[in-house]
Amino acid sequence: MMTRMRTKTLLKKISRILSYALAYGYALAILFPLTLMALTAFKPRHELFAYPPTFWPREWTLQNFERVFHTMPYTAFFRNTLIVTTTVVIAQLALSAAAAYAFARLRFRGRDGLFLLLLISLMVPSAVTVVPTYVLVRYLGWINEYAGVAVPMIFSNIAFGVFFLRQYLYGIPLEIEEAAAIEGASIWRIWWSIILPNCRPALATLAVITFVSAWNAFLWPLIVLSSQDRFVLSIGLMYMQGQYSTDWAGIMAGSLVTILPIAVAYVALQKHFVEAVYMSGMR
Amino acid sequence: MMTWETLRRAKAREGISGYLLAGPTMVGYLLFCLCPAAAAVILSLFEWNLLTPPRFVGLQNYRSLVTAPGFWNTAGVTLKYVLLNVPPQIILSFVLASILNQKIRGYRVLRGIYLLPWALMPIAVSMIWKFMLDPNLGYVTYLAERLGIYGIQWFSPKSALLTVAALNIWQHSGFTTTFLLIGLESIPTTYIEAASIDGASAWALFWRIRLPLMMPVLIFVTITSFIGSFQVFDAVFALTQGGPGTATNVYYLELYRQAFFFLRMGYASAMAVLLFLVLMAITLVQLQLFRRIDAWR
Repeated sequence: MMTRMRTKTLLKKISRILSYALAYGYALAILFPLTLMALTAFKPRHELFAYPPTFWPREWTLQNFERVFHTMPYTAFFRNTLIVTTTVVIAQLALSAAAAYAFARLRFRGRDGLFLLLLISLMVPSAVTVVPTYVLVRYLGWINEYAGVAVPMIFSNIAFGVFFLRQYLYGIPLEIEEAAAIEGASIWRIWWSIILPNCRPALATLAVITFVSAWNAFLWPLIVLSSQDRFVLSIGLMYMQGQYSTDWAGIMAGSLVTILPIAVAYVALQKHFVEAVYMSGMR
Repeated sequence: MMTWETLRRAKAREGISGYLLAGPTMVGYLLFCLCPAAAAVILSLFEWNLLTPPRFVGLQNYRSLVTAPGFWNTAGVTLKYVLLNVPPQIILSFVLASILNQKIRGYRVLRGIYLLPWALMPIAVSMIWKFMLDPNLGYVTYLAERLGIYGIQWFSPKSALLTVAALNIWQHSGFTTTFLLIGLESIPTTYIEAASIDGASAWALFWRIRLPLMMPVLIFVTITSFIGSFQVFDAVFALTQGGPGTATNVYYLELYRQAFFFLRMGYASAMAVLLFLVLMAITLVQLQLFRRIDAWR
């Protein structure tokens, strides 16, 4: 009896140790490459050839960033990414918030039919639409234009935004809106000064998910953009690796610049990132 | 005074506002999302290189698709990739989520670290790993040499697909873990407590309570992971470009190449339609399968 108890507590202890080892080991596996990337970005090029390789820089330098921003049009890449991402985030949020309000609160003919139409796209993978969308964008003369990148990106995922915000609106009590309507507020007024402020947490989550996917997008910009001055960061990084494949210090500096805005947003808005995972499960 | 007339007018105004608010979204959605999806089916019946007028060829594209040897290679590579990627990822994520669910020390920090790679740019992540695995300068290579392992080929015809899958697991299992964790945390603790008081072992708790209750979440995660990994593109493009040879030539990469290198718009659309049908079929089969397992329990 005694020994059985003892083996049981021993087993429990072992499984506890294993749990901790696995949980922290995996965290290390995530943080190690990222840390090494960030540190490598500050090492002089020749230090990368040291054996054994250094982890902590022996010598700190900003040369790599200078190289990235001067020999490569990284400033332009950064600006282009910023333009596209901001446009996509703002447009997608505004459009889906407006549509969600209409679908959740207003009565108009064909409302439910239109909403069903919107839901169809949740089942269509992006690989299906990519070729015809390219044909359309080409027809519109938007090849190598910001609009060609941004506009299809706004609408490719809009159904989900509308669906999510509509769901959220159903959870908000009607009374405030009714009171405002009786006071004589117009529908637009209600949307702007009651609906939008009340949806703020949902809008923040949607903004996070849209920001991440627009900032990181690669395939669609790759298809639409053809000249270097229009490249976004993802393509720029790929391009840089093609040009200077042995300049790992430079590539790591470029990667750091590319990742940093997302990483900062991640630390500041972590709650919304977790929320975004949860939200993707509502489909 | 409220009359029928004003009421009717207010209603009409509500209708107009509804169209105005939902209109822009609907127009853009139809133009840039739904119509292209439908157009893919139509395009797949044509031969078109963007330069000469399209020519109707009926099902010819589908026929040449299934008879092209390259296509079956691509299909096989993609399937292998999906199987190397999804099951290990879900098992790893389930284990990690179960550990986190015990509220171990550092729970919040760990959860934050796990999810981080999901938010990072796949191209940048691929660059970082390419550097880590570099045969001369890479830190992983160095660590392997310290352990006495020399000359590992990460991107040989045999290993490249596995390397790409491993990278994808690294990037995405945080998402899956977070998702499963949300599911595990929504299981009422009373269930677990009641069963423990009745003397259920940890083993029984897992198989009889946690797993069945997690079924819907697991189904969802499996299906989305399947759909996602069938369409892998960025990491493959950045790491191997489909090579060496055709060892990592996954479906989406082949589609991209057919459309934008060889300008075979019809053929690429046929590939897209076929992918859609296969994904639909897999989703339905998975749903049925899980339902069967559920009923059998």
